[in-house]
Amino acid sequence: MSALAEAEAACAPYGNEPSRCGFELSRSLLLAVRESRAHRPDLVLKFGQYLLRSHAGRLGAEVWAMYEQVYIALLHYGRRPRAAGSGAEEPSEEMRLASEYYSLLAARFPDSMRVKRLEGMMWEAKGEYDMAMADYDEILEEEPNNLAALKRQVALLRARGKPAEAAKRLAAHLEVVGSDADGWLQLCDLYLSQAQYQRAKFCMEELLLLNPMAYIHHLRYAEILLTLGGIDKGGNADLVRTARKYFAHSLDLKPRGNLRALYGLLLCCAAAPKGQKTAAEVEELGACAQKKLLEEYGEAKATSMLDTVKAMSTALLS
Amino acid sequence: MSATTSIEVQPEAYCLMFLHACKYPARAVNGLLLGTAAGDSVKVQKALPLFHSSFALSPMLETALMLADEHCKSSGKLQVVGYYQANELCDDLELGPFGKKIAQKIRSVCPLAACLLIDGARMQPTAREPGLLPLDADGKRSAAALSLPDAAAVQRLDAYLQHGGQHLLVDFDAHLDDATKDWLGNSALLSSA
Repeated sequence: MSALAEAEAACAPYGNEPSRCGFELSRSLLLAVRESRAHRPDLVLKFGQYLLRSHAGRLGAEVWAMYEQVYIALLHYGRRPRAAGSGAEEPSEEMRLASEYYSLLAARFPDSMRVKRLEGMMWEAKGEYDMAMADYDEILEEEPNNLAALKRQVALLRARGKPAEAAKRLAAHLEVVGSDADGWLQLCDLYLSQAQYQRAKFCMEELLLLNPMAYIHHLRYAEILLTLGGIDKGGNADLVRTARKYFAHSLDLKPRGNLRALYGLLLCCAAAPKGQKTAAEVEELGACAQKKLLEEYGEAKATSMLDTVKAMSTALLS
Repeated sequence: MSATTSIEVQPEAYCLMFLHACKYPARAVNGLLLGTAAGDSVKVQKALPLFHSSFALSPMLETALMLADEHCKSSGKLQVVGYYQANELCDDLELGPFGKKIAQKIRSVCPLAACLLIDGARMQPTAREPGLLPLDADGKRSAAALSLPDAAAVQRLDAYLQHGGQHLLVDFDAHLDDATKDWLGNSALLSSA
């Protein structure tokens, strides 16, 4: 169980009501959200506002991190879709409170780049993308290696529906900082969203080099290969075979609970050309993947899936 | 290609589609619609949430489609009658290349299949504005009549959101990470109301 799930479970008996959970539980819940980098603005808003209202003094230096955390959650709720904003509307309650928190942070840390980035995020939430971009540019001029600002710019371009430009900027950054795994993952995602499979494949190769023990990278790489070699792309036996190897290696690195690799192996075995000299081995591998899948579902006591998977895999391998 | 003329969405399916989009507000999500098709009308009884990660990769999508088919066969009454999608950007009302491909694939089996896009700018649906756009397989607005879920369905959705029901929803992506999660029935969510 993750720290976040544990903290959530601890709050459940109190009906998830911050004032009944009290200071310690609320604080540890928000700490867990911060450390797991989970996207849970709903929790942050509910528990963070309670802490800032009732226990700001007890938080000590942590109060600033809390302001930042709640501020970002407020922006998330306060933002309006562009279509609905006609410009002259009253700011929402969330945005009003966010401005208040921003003033507190800016007064406490007047020259901070981190606070400057928060200002940029406020512009983003208001839909003033050029102002936001200018803020981030300013930060990058001061600190060319400010990762957070660079990534906001990439996210901003993406949010404006310019994935190609976002990819270009991210690629330029990765040319300098080749060890940024998150960056490669994001770039892979951007390329995939534009159906640039060869480039996405290259990103995964970089990630495999950076972290050869990560089963998830092998898995993703195999999925890209199998997509490229799939039936609707004409079917390519070499790509299917290579994909099979990477699915198998992923399974080797994570033998339990790796359903994606098992399904991937099934598909590869079904797509392998018939009548080759390795046909018997492929058949054996397919049967093995099927057996392991059924074991997984048996252990999970997922009876409805058990029958479904049995029928599906039998049809696929026959 | 014959166009559907009427689509009826039942409350359970309607709620699941929206809760799926609410669970992953920053991502594109998609799923299948199960139900019955007869004459020129489609009745959507159930939604099967699929993905919140990339739509570009085919292996797990193919797997999901095959599993959904088997699930329908074993249920006896249902078939895949449609596809739904919510985009990453809330003002993006296009199906996109991947969505089109999936929709066409489904229509090659069920020519009447409905294709519904969740309108991200209208995520607070009312009975009059359900926040769903019916589309043709080539991504154009369809002339199909969408028979709206009644006020009770919208109320039910509100009730789910009130107690954080969206966090109980399980899509195929989440199921692949944890075999105990029930994506076919979403029993944890549906029994929570």
